Amino acid sequence: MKRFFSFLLVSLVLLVLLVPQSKATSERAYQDYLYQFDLYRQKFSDFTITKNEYEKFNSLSSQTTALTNTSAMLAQRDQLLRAYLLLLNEKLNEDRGLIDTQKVTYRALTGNEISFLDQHSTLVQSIGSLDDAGDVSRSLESHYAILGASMRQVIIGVSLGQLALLARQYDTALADAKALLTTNRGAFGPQKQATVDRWILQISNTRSLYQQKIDSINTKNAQLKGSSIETLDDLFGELKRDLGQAKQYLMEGNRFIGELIEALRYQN
Amino acid sequence: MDTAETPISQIPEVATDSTAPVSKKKDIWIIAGAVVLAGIITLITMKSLFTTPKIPTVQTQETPTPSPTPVRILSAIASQSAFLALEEAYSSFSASLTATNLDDPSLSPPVLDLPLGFR
Repeated sequence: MKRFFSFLLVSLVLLVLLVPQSKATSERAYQDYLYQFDLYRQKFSDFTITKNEYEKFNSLSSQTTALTNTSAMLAQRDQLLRAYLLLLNEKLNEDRGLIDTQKVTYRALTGNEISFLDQHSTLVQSIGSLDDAGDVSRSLESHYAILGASMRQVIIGVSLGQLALLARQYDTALADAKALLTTNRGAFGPQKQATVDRWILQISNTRSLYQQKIDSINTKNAQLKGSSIETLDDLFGELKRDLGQAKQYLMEGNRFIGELIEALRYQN
Repeated sequence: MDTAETPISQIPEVATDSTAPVSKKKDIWIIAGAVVLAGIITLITMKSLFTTPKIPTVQTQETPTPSPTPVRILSAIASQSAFLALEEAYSSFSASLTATNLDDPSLSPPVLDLPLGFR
């Protein structure tokens, strides 16, 4: 008995310590992202001012200041994008709906992009002239559509995880209802039994419609590609609308389950 | 007898005022108008003084006769633990649906102006 209580106490302490920490991890990642964004805005503003001064005066000193501020801005840009990818990673860590293979796929996307940014950061450190800065910036620009696609794929993945968690609850409620009706076959008159059976079928059909939508989102998300951020955003918007429709199926099914429960509660 | 006859040509012309009867007529009309106007005003004043305010009639609405609530008999399965578990699963699902927000604003990708734009 004593051992049981000590086990319970240790479990509680672990629960109290671990749960807020995992929540705090994504929150901390978000705060870090916001901080990096503030720094980026400041450095981008400094870069713009010194670039304009250099173009106006074309002096050696203004060129040197422009070079320093361009390098600083490019380094901070990488930091900002890295912080955002880390935030997505933390969101994936917190997710409880996605299956492991899906998580591995999404983590690979963020991991590849973080590696790209790490390599890019080393290029930024070696910038020696404004021409170099232009080349280094262009190397990110040419990769940006891929980076943007990866980011959007992971965002959709996080939402798919949320929906998967809801779908599991749907399945539990539907399985409970089916089991209840199977064990109590004959509890209602034939007419009511037929109605209830039809309702169960309709709830199952709604679940199938949800699954079809999810499968289509998964396919589209895996193929998400675009030559520009604008094209990507259009496709991303379409996927978000699909996610909304999938949730709508779950809501409809939930409403049907509620009606079924009310029908089962009463004899007449 | 020397009756001096005044020649017709010498009779002084009496100054005749042709506007006098018109002005008299006009005065009569003005007075009549004023009297009519005074009469109307008096009538309106009297009416407003002596008429009692209309009491609004309260329209009584007929209360609808309540339809008899159908007596619903609880089913045999309503008290079963499996039914209660189903109810619990449904409530938990409903709460999760309400709490889930697929559009997390904190996850919006950063919007960056990439080209350096040196001339």
